[in-house]
Amino acid sequence: MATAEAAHHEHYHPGGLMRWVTTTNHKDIGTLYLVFALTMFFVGGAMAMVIRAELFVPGLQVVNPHLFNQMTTMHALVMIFGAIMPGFVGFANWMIPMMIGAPDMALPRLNNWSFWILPFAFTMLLSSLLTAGGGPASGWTLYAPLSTQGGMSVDMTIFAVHMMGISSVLGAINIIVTIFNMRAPDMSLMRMPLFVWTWLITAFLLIAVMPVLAGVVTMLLTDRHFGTAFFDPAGGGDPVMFQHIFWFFGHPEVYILILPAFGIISEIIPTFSRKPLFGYSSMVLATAAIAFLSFVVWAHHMFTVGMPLTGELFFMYSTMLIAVPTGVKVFNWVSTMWRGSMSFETPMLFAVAVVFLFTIGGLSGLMLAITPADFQYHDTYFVVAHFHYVLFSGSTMAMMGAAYYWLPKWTGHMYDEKLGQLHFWLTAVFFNVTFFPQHFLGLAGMPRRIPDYALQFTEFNVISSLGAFGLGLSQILFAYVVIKCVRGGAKATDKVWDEPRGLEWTVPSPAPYHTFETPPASIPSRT
Amino acid sequence: MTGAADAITVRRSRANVWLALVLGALALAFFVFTFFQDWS
Repeated sequence: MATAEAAHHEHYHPGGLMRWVTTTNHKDIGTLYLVFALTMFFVGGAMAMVIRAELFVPGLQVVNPHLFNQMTTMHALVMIFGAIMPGFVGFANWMIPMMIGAPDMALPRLNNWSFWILPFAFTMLLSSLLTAGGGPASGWTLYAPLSTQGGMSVDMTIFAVHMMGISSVLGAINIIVTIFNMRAPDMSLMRMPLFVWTWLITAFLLIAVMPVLAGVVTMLLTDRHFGTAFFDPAGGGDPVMFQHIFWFFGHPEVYILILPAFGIISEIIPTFSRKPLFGYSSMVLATAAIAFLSFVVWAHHMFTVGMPLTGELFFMYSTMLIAVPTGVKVFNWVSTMWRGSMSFETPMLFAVAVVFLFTIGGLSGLMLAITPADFQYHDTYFVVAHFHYVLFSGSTMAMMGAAYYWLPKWTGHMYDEKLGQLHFWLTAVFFNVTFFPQHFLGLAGMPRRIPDYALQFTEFNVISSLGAFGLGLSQILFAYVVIKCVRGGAKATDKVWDEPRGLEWTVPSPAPYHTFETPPASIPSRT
Repeated sequence: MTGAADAITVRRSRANVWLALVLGALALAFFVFTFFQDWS
């Protein structure tokens, strides 16, 4: 009886596993998302190791071509939907309420549900590898007619994508409602930290395009099982239409994967430059401009499929236009550092590397945007190099920097700075060893998603594979530093760093289970 | 909690649910628009 009464008491918390299953606390759910993302990062990373082992030397050694195709497909799906997106949602859950002075997310039970859909979605996706005929092998883009012809693993993938989409949309709704309705009284929109701004815009992108992905995979499903012919020319359909609809989702998705990283960098660089962020309002406008432009550039992924000249010109110029707001951001980050009193703790090392390496990815993106040039680069390793510079040295390294930046606030312990810096240098060096040679391979004509290659590509592939093995092993060090920090270490102060700005640094370290149950009396100045 | 604070909490949680429903309806509309578009 006493237990039943306690269960109904508002401060009752179950312990052990049930704490995590039933939690509605934004910090707990943030931790769940981050642990899940790190786990998926290692699962997807293991698949990358298989790919690079096969490509170490010419010929077929490690896996058969069909399994190779499954590995490239699954590596992308796991990294995009399992590691990067949930990782950013984890940071959002932890930080957005603390940054805007809210006691929790606006819809805590929905928040719990958003997370707990994911383990089931990925169990479904990964177990498709065990079906007769193996996992999906059509590439993460699931292009028809390859995907209309696959086995039951494609149906499992479609169902998993639906579940991930529901999780993302519910998470996005929660973030928008939290930011609009739960801000502390003095926290006007234009005083919000950039991380909150970039997530607000990202959440709108998610609501706009995840349903489009759900729509197109549902069309795939009905083509496979219910007699429709959306993508089947024999029934009056068109496989190219799949590509159009997919990339109408796919390109905004690229910005879903990078805008929160821009927000993270915009938090870290001012702290370690000991200066306010340069050009705050232009940063907000640039983020919004990138999000808007992301809806009108999708066909640059499919220049070679055959389009009217006007279409190719439109998509070429609109894509190039994105360089303008992106350039504004890079300019502002550099200007924030300019004459700052800079120090290079691990988060700052990651942030500076992101600015530098993401810009390389941005420039190769500009090369790909040039339609006639893209006819040469399309579906080569140049594209693989490009999007890893954006998604690994952009999104992933930004998240690593964010982990080092906020871990002391979360755990109350400082991480091991020496090991953190060692992890950074190993990651930065091995990343470039892995992916820079892939530019040359692509320019020389090595096609992507093929398990074998011509002899003249051998040297660069050996270098790339050695780099990849080093990069993979280095991430074990990352997990070690994080676990070590969670378990103990030097006591972190409440401010943690010299001159951090923002409400999250006004609460104790470790952050109490509940923060801002009464709104903060004043908002720290960001200038 | 005071009566005024209670009233603010109730107003805010109602606003949260309404905004969530509007955004959810928007997402559903995008799905319906994609799937039931006349693609011919």
